[in-house]
Amino acid sequence: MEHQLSDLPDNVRRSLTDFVNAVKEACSSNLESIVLFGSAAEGRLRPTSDVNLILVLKEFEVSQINQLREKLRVSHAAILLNVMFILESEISAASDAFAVKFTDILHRHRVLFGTDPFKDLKVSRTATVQRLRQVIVNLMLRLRERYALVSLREEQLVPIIADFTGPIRASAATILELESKGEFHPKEALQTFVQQLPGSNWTEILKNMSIAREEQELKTGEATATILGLLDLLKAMHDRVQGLK
Amino acid sequence: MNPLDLPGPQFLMFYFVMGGLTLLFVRFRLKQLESQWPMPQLNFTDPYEIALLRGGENEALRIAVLSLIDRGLLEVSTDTIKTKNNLAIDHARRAIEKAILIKFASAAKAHEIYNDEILKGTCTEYRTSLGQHRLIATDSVYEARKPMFWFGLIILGGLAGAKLFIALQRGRQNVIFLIILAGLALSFLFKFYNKERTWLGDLALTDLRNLFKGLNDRGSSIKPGGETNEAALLAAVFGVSSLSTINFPFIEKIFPKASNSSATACGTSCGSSCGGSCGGGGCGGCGGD
Repeated sequence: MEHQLSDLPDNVRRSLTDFVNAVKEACSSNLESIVLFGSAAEGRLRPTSDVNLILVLKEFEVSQINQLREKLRVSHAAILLNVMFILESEISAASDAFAVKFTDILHRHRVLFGTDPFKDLKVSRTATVQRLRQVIVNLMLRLRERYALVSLREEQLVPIIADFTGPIRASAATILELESKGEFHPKEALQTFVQQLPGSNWTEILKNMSIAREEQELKTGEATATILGLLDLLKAMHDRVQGLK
Repeated sequence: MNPLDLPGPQFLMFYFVMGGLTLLFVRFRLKQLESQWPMPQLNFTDPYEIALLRGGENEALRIAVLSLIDRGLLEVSTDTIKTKNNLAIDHARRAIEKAILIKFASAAKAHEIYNDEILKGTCTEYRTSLGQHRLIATDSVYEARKPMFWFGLIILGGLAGAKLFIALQRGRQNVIFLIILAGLALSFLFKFYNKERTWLGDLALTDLRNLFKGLNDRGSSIKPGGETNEAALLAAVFGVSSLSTINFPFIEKIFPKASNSSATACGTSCGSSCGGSCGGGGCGGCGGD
């Protein structure tokens, strides 16, 4: 399996290999697939990225999961490993409930063990549109609250920008896909999305989003401007999604 | 030319160079010998075992106290700690944790862990495991080090002894510098022989530091609460001072020497409450879908 992970940093590769081997040993016949998704699956892992794994199981056998608990805690500490435990029979329902996330997973995943559980999965358009609306409204409401509560300490806005960047990019990718404009990597999707928006400071806002994620620091005034820009961006996304059927 | 015939200052210079070279050679050979041992397939999931590898029993006990406070099973008052209640003892899974909680059933100062033989005894399983992997020195490791120790002793001790003998025979009394120099060289030699963590153990620790470098990078944003064992692992691998004293203010109170002010904190809102809400990636709460 090491060669499947050769594009990942050494510590991530080792920790992930160790955990995957432990899963294979503990879950054995109950295990259907192990899937890496998100930036690690693309080999675009940043030092601050988390590593996302899906374990597709036949049953959630507590005795088997108990054997993994120590390893999981260590791997979570070492490489920010997050694991989704999902049963084969739940994939369809989960993809409807979390359509935007699963659309992203469909585009960015790597099977580390077993067969591809998402090979024949189709996320329904209706569910995706509905979920996308929820996600964008949720992001808007949360970002307004964060701004009002935190922005008097501007430096504290930077981690908020970093946290919102991923979901906003994923939402942009989903919008473009629903508009039949093709499949985009989330970062490029947002770049494409803002090109169609009025105003000229989007390049700066997108650049600051990346800096907030990668360097966790922005110059004075930039964090506030970026948060306000993100609120405008979410409003524009919300308006676009309203037009989707 | 016989170096033993050199006058005092020149002989001291000769001994200094010769002693330095001998010590370097002994150190190099021991490192070579112990680094060649196969690296065991380590299964480090226990922060206390890592702490013992890094700093011995006292460090393992210190990390255990820190972890128990983080989990809320031990409570800190002004300068003492006390087990929360009897239920706390039941919550502890490991022998070292149970023993600490039993010891602090009545309030006492944290540094009392260092002199407690019962607590130290709970670390025996870690010492045995690390010894079996030849990461800390056992009788067999000391045995393997002996030839190089004797080699160094013969050169350093023999040379100094012979010169002392000659000097005293010739009625010279100003041998104090030679005695000091020989004492220093022999103490270094003994340190190499007596080194508790093997060179293989040093490699394993370096390996662990690489594995957990991401955790160290985000050390200042680790929050107390004990839901994960990140604080314990970070402190175990990198030392207590790697934890933010702002997020973990009790460290300065109970282990003032181990903590220092270099650890930074993230203030009030590192990250956010987003994430993890659908099991492994945040399907709901933050709009991450």
